[in-house]
Amino acid sequence: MLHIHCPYCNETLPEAEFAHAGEAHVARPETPSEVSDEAWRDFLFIRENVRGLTYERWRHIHGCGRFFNAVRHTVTDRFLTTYKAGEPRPDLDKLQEADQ
Amino acid sequence: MPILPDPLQTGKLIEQDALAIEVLPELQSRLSLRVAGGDRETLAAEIDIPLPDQIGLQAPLDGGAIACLGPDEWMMTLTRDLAALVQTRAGTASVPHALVDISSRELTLVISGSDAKELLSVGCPRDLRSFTPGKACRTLCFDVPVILWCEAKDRYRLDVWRSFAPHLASLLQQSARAIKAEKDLSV
Repeated sequence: MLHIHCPYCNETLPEAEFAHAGEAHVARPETPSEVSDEAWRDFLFIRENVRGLTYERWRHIHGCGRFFNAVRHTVTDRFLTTYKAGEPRPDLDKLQEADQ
Repeated sequence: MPILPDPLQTGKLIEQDALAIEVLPELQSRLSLRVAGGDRETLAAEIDIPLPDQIGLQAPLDGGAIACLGPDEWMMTLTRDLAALVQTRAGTASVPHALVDISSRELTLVISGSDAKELLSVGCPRDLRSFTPGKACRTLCFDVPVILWCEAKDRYRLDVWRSFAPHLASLLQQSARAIKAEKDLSV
């Protein structure tokens, strides 16, 4: 089982308490009525689906209930960091350096 | 007051050498409190209830306890008198908040005895070694969402939704029998 650090509880807890909640930093357009169909489709459905490091949302649903963001490697499942929702995305190069 | 028939009879479900599982009668009120972190101290003073500021900690109350479950969420169990008093005080509070009586939502199971931790660890994914007295959190037990309180060494309380209670209780009883059987064999 993976262990995930919840930035709100400030504890590293078992994966069973968490739920994956899709890609992070997908910003909803401010005025949806002015967005073209193609752009709206991209907002709703088009995701990066990278092989490697990705920014994701997770939810500590069976704990504090909060959404937060994480940087995870999709091949190794390794979590490089987690941070509170609303915080800017961390620099991947620096994270990888720190991880090695 | 309970509005539904109890899905489990109150009293001891299982009692063996070093382990007991008990369903508590519903004598207490449960209140759920939501208030933004910045207003916590103001509200705590106005309703005269200590609100622990760290997720996973509990504080004693008259006849019960209050636990911090999330950055803006608290769960209290307390006597009916105190619950009524808190609700009256909250009615005139100066900060926005939500205080909801959820007394009938859950049942309380108490697991006690020197094997209590071993029994819980069968179903609960948390590391219980660091879950010492004074802690409380929302977590899972056999995939059932529960609020777990560590009341004292070797005494744990599980608040579980009523509809899940018979399922959880039967799994706990099964595991308790397995633990006993294993001990009997190894003697």
